[in-house]
Amino acid sequence: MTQILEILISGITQGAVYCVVAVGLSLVYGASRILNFAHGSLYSLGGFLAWYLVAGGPGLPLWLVVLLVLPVLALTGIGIERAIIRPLRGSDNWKINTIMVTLGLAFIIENGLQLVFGPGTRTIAPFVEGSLSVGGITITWYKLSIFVISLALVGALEFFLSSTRYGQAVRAVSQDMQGANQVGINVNQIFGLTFALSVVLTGIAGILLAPVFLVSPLGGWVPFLKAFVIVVLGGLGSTKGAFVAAFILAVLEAFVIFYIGPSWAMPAWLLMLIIVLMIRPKGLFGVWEN
Amino acid sequence: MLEVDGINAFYSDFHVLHDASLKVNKGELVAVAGANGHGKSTLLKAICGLTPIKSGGIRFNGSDIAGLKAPQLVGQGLVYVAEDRRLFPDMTVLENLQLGAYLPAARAAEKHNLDRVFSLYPRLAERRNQLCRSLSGGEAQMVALGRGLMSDPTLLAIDEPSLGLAPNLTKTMLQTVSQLNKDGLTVLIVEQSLALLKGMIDRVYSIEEGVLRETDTDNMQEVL
Repeated sequence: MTQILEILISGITQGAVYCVVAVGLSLVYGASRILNFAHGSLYSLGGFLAWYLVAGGPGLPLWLVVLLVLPVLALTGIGIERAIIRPLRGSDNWKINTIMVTLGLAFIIENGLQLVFGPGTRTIAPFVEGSLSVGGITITWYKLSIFVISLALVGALEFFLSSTRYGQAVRAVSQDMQGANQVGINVNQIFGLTFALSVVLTGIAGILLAPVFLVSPLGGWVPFLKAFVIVVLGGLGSTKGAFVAAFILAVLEAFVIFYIGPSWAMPAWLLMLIIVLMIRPKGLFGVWEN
Repeated sequence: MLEVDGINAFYSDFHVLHDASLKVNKGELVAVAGANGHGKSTLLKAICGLTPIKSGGIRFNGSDIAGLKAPQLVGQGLVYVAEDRRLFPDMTVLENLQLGAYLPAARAAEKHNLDRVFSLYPRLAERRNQLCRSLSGGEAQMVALGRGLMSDPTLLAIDEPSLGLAPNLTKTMLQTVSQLNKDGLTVLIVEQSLALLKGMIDRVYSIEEGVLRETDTDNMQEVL
């Protein structure tokens, strides 16, 4: 019983971080219908930036690093939208074209990271040590903290989307772009905003998970693939769907890893995805219409 | 207030509007009538910056607005209400109306305009927390018009409000538009059937195969 509870807790804490990466991917897709293949590489970029500032050179404390990296990530997101997405939108095959350029961007980021930092893996020491034991269940303070931080991030995003002017505008753009234009929403600005938020979310996740999963130039593909499965399972473009799907899949993963083996985690996810899509082709909370 | 001077617009390769010219004076209710597929909607969308024009000029309140996009024009008081409503389906009635007042200028008058919309349509006040996805066609049209009013327009361009509405609902809708006009709002409206607009409009244009012509309101029936 304790064991099952421990696996469950491990899954739930992991789920919160997956959620951060996935809602970022979903946010951009929801607003612009663009699937950003560089999402995972940007996760690595966040990890490397933090590693460099903490352990590589200046040796700054992690909290300060996060504060410094945040605007860099946001500007990266705005820059990506401006430089490579906006010129392609409105072109005939923009859906395929944007996939190709974001895929290209992923390779550029990966190779850039490899060039600057080398191909090896890096790690950041966790910002809290030790663990908490309650009733025979042990969880490290670090996992508990990233769980809380992740939930806070996702909660803040939900609040932003549901209760602020710009958040409403993001949802408006995702639901009817012409309607958004009609009421005076600058759609380009909203796309830039979603890219900024998305890159911040995935970059922060890359930093939070650096002590657990290590950072490497090619290490973004697994989080990307996982985020992709989560987003499709939850329903493309639905942040609520991504939230629920992240926890379902993370708990599934925890049990599969414990009882069958780590290499079966991804097959289990994909099997789950196939089953859900057979029953609900739009995913759990999908609403897409066009 | 609005002067359209010889505009040409294309729908991909198809030449939709041919040197279309039209004028709307302050306080007028001007109608454009014509059958489907003759360029009525394109005309309105071109004026409101939702569809590009190839050539010609558009002036609004004395300044050149040709080539400006909708978000810039909304801020100047030129607001478009779409024939297909273009509501945000997964948001509530209230959120849709609030988004009408998205720009700073309209936001300043948000409270006042919301009261106005709710007194115009008490039904929307009752359903303020309902998702627009679940509204009937008549209610959706109310939200579309209400959202347009929330943008605090000086000229409201209404695209075929009767589309998909039952005749009695259309009649109520047009009476509302006429009342808004009497209260001082300038309106440019596009309709297929002018019979329902009789007695409400100041001037009328007919549009046929993208060619616009001013017509006598008395001869309206002849036009159709």
